[in-house]
Amino acid sequence: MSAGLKIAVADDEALIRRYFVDILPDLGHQVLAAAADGRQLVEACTSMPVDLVITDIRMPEMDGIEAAVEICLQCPTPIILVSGYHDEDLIQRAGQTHIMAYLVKPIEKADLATAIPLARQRFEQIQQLEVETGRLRQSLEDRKLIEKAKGLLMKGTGLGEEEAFRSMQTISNNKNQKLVEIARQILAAESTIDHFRP
Amino acid sequence: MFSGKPKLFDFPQRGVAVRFALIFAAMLGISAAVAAALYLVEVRLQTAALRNSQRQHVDAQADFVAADLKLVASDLMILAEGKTLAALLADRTSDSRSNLAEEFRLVAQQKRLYDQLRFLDDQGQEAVRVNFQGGEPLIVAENNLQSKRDRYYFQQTSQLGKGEIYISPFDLNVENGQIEQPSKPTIRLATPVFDSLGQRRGMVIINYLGTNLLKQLERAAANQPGHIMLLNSDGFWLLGPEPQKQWAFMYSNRQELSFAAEFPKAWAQLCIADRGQFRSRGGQFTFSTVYPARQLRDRSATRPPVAGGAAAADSDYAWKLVSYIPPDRMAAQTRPALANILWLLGAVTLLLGGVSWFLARSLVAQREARQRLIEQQRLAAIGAAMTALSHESRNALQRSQSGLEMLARRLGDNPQLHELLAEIQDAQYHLRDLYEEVRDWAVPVQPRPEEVDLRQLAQSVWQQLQQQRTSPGDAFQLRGEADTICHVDRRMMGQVLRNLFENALAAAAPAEVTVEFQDAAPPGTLRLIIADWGPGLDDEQRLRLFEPFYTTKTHGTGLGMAISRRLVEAHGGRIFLAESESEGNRAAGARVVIELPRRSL
Repeated sequence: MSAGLKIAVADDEALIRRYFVDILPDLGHQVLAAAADGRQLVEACTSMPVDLVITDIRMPEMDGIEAAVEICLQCPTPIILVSGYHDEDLIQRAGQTHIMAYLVKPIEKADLATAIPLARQRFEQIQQLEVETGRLRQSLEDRKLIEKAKGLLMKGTGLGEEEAFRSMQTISNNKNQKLVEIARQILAAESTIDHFRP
Repeated sequence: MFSGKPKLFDFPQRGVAVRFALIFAAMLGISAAVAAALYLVEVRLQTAALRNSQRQHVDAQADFVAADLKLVASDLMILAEGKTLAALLADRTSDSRSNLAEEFRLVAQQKRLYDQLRFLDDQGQEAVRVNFQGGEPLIVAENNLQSKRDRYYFQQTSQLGKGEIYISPFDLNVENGQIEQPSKPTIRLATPVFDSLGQRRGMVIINYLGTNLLKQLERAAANQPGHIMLLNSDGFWLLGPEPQKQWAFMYSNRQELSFAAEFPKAWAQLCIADRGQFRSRGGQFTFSTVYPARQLRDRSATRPPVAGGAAAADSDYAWKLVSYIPPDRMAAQTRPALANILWLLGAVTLLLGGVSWFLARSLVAQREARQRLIEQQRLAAIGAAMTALSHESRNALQRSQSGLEMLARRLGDNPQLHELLAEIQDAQYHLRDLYEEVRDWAVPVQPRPEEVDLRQLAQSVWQQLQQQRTSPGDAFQLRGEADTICHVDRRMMGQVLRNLFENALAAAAPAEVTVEFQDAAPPGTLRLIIADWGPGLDDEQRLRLFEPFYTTKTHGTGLGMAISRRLVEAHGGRIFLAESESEGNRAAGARVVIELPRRSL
């Protein structure tokens, strides 16, 4: 599931960048970009979509956390922070974005081997949760519209609640349209009629 | 068993005790010396005052004795030179005789001091005699008068000139060759009588009752600390503290009962001077010499010069008036002063005790505060250095780690080179761990407290450690009923317990660890006793356990216990080693005690 990720890395030290370029392919990943500062990292992520970002915090131009915030604004991406600092302020700031892990230097291949799939998994879980939340929100909206249309129908025709709902379902089946679409049409029709009423 | 209060190595308290002992000893020494000096001065002053008062007392009594004798002498002279006696001498009739007898009787009755008043003619025959008879003076009938021609006083007085007085030795009255009973201490004063033609016609003799004089002396000495004594020239007691030793010279079988025999040294000193004061055998002697004959001769000094061998010989006759304070009374004199000084010293000692304790405590507290300050400054400096070092060391370690891993990929399959690389990797890990631990120890401890059940925490820490443990059979036990919910930093207390458990696990395999929870003073304090049954600690280990960088393991920084101590102290608690206790026949291992306020933060 998390194998073969496209990863962008950033560190102000050339040796560390080389290390990522060297080691990550061993773990089955592809290094798309190796940036020397936050600005470069943001640019790289804007130009091409990446699956994961690994970045140092303290860098010239723009630091890792600022860069992460900007990247996630454009496109939600899992971020792993790697830093020589281990203080509360940084951890606090890191908690605000899509940061999935905070590794304290020195790190080694084994740390990456566990942190990368974990970060990706957690990110995907969060994404899934977000999709699910959207879907639930939509169905709640739909339910409100259907109820409103059903009310109108009952008022206009004198049908009971069950009969009104059943007739809406029949229309939906006959027209091969979603029940919410039928509800929207009823409401639209009502508001048009309203417009011409004295 | 495990229960009971652990015995502590309370080094600060011992420091206080040692300092207290030193300060107290020094202060006590000084105050004792001052007290001793005060006492000596006081004793000197008192002794001087005593000597003075004794001197005055003895002088006054000597004057009194002399004055008393002079009164007797004046009575004697009045009788001897009076007209009644002159009339008798001129015309010896029964009338003139009875006139004199009546005069004698009158004097005896009024004075009440004279046992006999007599007129002897020049042949030694009693012409007039009045006996005092204990208050009822009696004129002795003519046919009962005796001849005293052979008596020493008649002989002596017969040789005196006009106006001269013979004074006899002070002794007990003898009648008919027997010592009169009850005894009558007597002094006889006699003076020759001459008629108008200058013819020697006899003598007047007064037997003076010495009892009165002696009583007078005793009475005066009653409120004096010393015994008053009157000694005759041979060192016999005329008056002394023991009645049976008085007048011993009068009895042939009591010749050895004399002051001279009992106090030979003192007697020798009494003899070489007329007046003096000295100490002998711990007692204090004050004395004056009374020369009765000389006193009376001086009295008559206004008269024409008196010559005469007898009087001159008598003038050496002397009494020694002595006031003697025995050793025990001397000691009693200074006892109140000693008691006062001792009370004072006692009070001062108590005071000094308090002051010393206070001083010792503040000295130790001061020293501890200074040590704490130094330690804090040291830690702050190390902390600052470590913080500065921290970032760079991590980056450097990261470079090194990266390099190692990249190198490993390029080495191919030369096993020797991989072995070397593994060595470097090991060193790299060790360095990393060292840095992390030192950093842990150096950074300021800021607990983030929450409600933590220490019993559960201990259990979970143990379980975590057991997962990494390769050898089986370790035993873990939680004991005690105390409430273990505390308001502490979970991570920090977990680290403390982990350190302790790791030490126990490192010391023995299989290891056995017991954690006992107790309530401790002050209320609200939880005590944890973490004990193992491993080999325990030797003396050096005990002393240096909490010292940073002290370790007996080949790996590790030796900071574990130092960090634990900082963490516990940051929670307002303390951690220390308890005396190990054996259970059954098993030797005890290490016993670490943590005392923690349940809510301190």
